[in-house]
Amino acid sequence: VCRCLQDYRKHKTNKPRGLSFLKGTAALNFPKIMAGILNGGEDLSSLLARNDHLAILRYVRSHKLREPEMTIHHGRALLKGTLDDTSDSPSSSPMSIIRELLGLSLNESETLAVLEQVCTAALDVYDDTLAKRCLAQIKKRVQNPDESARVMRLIGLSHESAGEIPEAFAVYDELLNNNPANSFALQRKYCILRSQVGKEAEAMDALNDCIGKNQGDAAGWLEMGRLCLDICDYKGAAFCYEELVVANPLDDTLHCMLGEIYATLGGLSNLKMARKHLAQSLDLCSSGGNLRALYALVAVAGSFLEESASARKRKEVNGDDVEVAKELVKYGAENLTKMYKGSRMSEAVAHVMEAQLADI
Amino acid sequence: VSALAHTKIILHAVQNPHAQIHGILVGRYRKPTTSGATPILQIAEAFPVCHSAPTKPLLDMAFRLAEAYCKGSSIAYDNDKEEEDSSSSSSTQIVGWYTANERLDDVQLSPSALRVMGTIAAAATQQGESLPANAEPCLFLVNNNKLGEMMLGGEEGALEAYGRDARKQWQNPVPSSHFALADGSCALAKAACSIKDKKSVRLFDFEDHLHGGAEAIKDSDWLSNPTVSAFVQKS
Repeated sequence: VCRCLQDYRKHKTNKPRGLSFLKGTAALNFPKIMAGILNGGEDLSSLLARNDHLAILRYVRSHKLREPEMTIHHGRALLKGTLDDTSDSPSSSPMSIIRELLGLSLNESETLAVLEQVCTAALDVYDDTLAKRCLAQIKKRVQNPDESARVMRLIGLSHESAGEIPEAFAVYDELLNNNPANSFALQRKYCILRSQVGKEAEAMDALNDCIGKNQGDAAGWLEMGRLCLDICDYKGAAFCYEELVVANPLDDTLHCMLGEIYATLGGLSNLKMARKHLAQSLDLCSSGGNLRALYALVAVAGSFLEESASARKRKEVNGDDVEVAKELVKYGAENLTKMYKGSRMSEAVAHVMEAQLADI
Repeated sequence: VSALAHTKIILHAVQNPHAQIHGILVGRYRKPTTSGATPILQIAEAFPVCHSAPTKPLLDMAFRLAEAYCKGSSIAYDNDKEEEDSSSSSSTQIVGWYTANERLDDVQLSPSALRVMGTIAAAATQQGESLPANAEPCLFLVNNNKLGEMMLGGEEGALEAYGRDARKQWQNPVPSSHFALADGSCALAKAACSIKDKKSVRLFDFEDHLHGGAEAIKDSDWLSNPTVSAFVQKS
């Protein structure tokens, strides 16, 4: 529970959330294919069963999963002895020679990769000691630690974790000096601002910067959409989700969310748009129907009928649209009642759906 | 505030530490025993709704389902036995909203929570049922800092209540002397959160329920949350 409390302060990274959202899209298949080639097509559960530490870490890295405890556990198993190495030339200690002879050791680049992964994971779970040890080892093994962008990223992250915000900003600014389009630095700057209460406007500017420099960054648009929803800027949120839908037209969750946003904006034309997106979402969802979209569709179609019933608007409303809305309510209500049959909640659901149908 | 509702609110907050949470408070208004005093709001249950920014269709459905559930099943109150005159309290209905923010030090009420309170209040006045005079719904905020202290051993609760203020917004803080948690609520909530086997006492909100998909409908009952209720009753 203490850690849960500390999680409140956690600075979010954009990548895992962005990718987990776009689960149905082709964008995610590419790393899977690559990982399949590297791991011989195994999935995580079989790798875990075999306890193949290196392969597991590779899997986590290539799929961009956020599993800090798993990473630390397997990373530590691989790095036994390396973390406490205080000698100047690590590869010549007696233990490492023995390990090399036994074919157990990692080569230099693998060690560095594992150290980097474990360092990031340690920062994620606030294990500052482990992170410092990893960072020290990395600095020892890299030729010019002050010029390496990867090392600087880790230094920036550890400053953030320790709450040293100005130092973190300095590191990221330097990264941006060397490469103005460094997306990592831009994202981290945004994350820092986002976590500080009262800096919402600056956070939005920083995010605008990120998106401006990386137009195709879906995670950035997603984050912007979320920010807009948080401050009740539904028009802005609709714009962001429209961008996401354009980039990923086959993702049913995006259509569903966009439909809901249009519904929240209200008004006849917005409700019509909402209806279309929700219908598209249901179309795209292969497995038996997206529950959220079904509920939303019933709600939206119901609101449409309510709004169109007010006398003034009757002239502006197409008779066909009203018919379509009625059919949609029926469709949604029937499907939902069917799905809930036999469960504790079926009574409540049936009650609500009947009420909706009665309104027609 | 009943122990069950309190536990659910805290569990919801702790199980979604990275996100803002929102949920419905259900209870009833009781006429005061002495005339002229303000009515008492008893909160019996909490239905967790979502752990992201709420959207209108989601809320619409959540409210309707919650109301249907209230009418259908019997919601128990802590001091039902003392109740002689059932006409002194209104029927069980939606009486408020609870929320918690994403960030640790963010203790402001979010604009979306305030908008929701507006709709709840509007719906309450439209009910047509006669509520006791001056009865109004209530907004509860989980203060993240106080939640931390409570978890680490403090006795003070983490809930803050807000009532309607002059501008018809819900920004008027209710002093903590004016609302009470049922006995042992804090300890119960802490116990629920510390259970190692997360699956045995898992709280589902409406969003979880929807994301679980058609197959998991029976397992993720967000309205009754049977595992949590059983835990509270056992303790």
